[in-house]
Amino acid sequence: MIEVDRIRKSFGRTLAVDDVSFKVDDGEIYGLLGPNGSGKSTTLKIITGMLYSMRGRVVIDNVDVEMEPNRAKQIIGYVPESTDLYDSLTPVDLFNMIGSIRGIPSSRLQSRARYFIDAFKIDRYLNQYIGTLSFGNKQKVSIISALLHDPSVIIMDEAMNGLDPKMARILREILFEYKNRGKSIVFSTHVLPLAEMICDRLGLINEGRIIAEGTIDELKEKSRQSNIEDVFLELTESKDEVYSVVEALKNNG
Amino acid sequence: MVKSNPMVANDERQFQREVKKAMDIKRNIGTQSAIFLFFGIMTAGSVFAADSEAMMIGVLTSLALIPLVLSIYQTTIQASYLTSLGIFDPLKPLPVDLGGKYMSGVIAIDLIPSFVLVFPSVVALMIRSPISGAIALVWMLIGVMAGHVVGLGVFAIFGQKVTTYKGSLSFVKNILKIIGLLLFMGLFFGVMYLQEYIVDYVGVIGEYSIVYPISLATVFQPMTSIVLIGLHLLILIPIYVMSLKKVWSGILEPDIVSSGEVEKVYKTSVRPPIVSLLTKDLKIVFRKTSMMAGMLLPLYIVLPQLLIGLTEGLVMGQFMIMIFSVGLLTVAGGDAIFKIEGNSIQFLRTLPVDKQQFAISKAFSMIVIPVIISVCLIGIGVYFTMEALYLLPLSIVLPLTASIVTVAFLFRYKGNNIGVPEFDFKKMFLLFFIVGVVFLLIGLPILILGDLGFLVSPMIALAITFMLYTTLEN
Repeated sequence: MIEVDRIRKSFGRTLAVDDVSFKVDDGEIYGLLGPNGSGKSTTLKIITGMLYSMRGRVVIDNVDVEMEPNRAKQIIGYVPESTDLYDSLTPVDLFNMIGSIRGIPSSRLQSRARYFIDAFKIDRYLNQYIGTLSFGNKQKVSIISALLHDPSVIIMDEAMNGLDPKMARILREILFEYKNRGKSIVFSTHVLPLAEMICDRLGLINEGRIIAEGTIDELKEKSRQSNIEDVFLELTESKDEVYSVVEALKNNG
Repeated sequence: MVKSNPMVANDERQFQREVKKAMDIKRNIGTQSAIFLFFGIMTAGSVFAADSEAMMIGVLTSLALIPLVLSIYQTTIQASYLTSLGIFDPLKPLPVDLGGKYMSGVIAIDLIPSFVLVFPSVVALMIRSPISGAIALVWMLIGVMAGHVVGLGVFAIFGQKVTTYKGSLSFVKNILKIIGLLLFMGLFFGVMYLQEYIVDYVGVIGEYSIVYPISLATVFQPMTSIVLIGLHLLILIPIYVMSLKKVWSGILEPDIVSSGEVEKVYKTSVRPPIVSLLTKDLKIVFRKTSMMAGMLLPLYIVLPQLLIGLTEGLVMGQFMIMIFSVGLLTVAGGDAIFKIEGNSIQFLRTLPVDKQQFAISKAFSMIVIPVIISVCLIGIGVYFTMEALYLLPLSIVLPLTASIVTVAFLFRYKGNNIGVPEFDFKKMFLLFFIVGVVFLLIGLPILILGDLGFLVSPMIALAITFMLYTTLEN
């Protein structure tokens, strides 16, 4: 379970996250949606212990992330937005390093790595330097790295980026399987139909604040819109802005 | 980058300070230059007080090595680091032809402090002999340029080829690349040694020291010096232009070498976390040959003395100086070891690695190459005197002491988050000073107790190392 309670973060004068609270139960996929710069990634970094909140707290499976960040990282699997992996290492080098740091027994590491290597079809890239992999393959390596230790909590920031439809479908199925096993998953994405397909509940974040939360149907009812894109635009008050930009482009194009 | 550095992002005041500092190039370079200037003024005294031209030349030619070596070091490490950060990526799709010059300029700014270090000595010479001083100034600038050119050359030849697969022969290939790198870097020293050989057979040419830094000996023969300056420029400028073009084309479109075989079998290899982090660092340094060039700094410093000693004989005192020098210069290797992380530190921070594990692994990563160099020096020393074996324990412990002092200093921030500490020339100099004082304490028993001191000194070193190690563990 993930409990985020009134976290706040600023960088200089920029308030990136302002009083954000939400809860994700076991066996639930929670979608975090928001425009660019709304504070999604910063929120996820605070949840994963990579940044400290100025106030509030995050508790994951009864572990306070700020007080025990490494204990929290043991149970979290995090796929960040950017795949900053070690270019001069191979996927094998990387998986072995992760296994060593996370204390995964050799046999278990072997079986789990093998499972994901086969699922994501990266067997022919195992001894290729990560820096020479395509973006999509790097993303696959990043996802596998996050799931090797069978985390009970999974945080994914735009994890579908770069995946072809087949691999995206495989990842979705893996997430559904994890959800059925009782894991808590937070999934941030810009792809609204994907959020609609995967997530049990959504949290809309704008300018560092959660502005709406609920199931898809609840959000549609609240905003009186019939599709998720209009829900998003309505609740982030950007519908008029979009129309005026489109008009301006038409007139000046 | 400042936002994602936990050492800074979690502290509001420090964050604002760091952002302001990071944007202020003048302040950064100015502060570093001020520190270098302080040391430069100290050395200038010996030029000013020298009572003969020969003495002045002696001091200047020794000093002239500094801008050359620092320039090589900074250029190779920075070129590799900046490229790995992707700083030049935004320029790639633009229709501009100044990418290479931009890169050279960015790196050259960092070379200013190394020139400032020798500037006071040049001024001291100018006061005594204006023309010779002006010529010496030009020579020092050539030294900086030569180092920069060599550094770019190293990066272009050794640092830009991208091998896609790690094949079964990759280890051998990397070793060959490192040997090639050592030969390349030894070019200057090789030419000087060649000149010594020519002296015996062609006396006329042998009268003049034609290669930098020895060519500084001609500062009191202006016409000869000017001709040699012209010769150096004639060689350096075309190489600089070619290297820049090659470097930039390598950045735009890396030379991909699809060697090695596709390996479909996943073999697990689980180690203790610190060993795993150390292995990761060594793999990266080994595979990024231009980073390795920076790590070999201790070798460039002791190499001239070693080469001279090989022909004229070496005594115990000289070996001691070399061993202590390599130990001290371990500090400089920290720069490359920390820069290995680049943006990948973000990934490492998603793993349960605490600050102590990270710092200790960095300390061990820093000592590998200095220890290899030191032990090889002992091996060479044994050829001259069996007493060199007395230095074997110190050859291992001194780099370790230096690295533990370095990480204890750099990782003393509060909190347990890992991050890449800022390691500029300012901090490097301060650490050289601190480690120097520590080495003085370690070396005292040898001076006071004689041979018994070779037993006591390593024990003192180990005790200091252990004390600092426990502060890291807490």
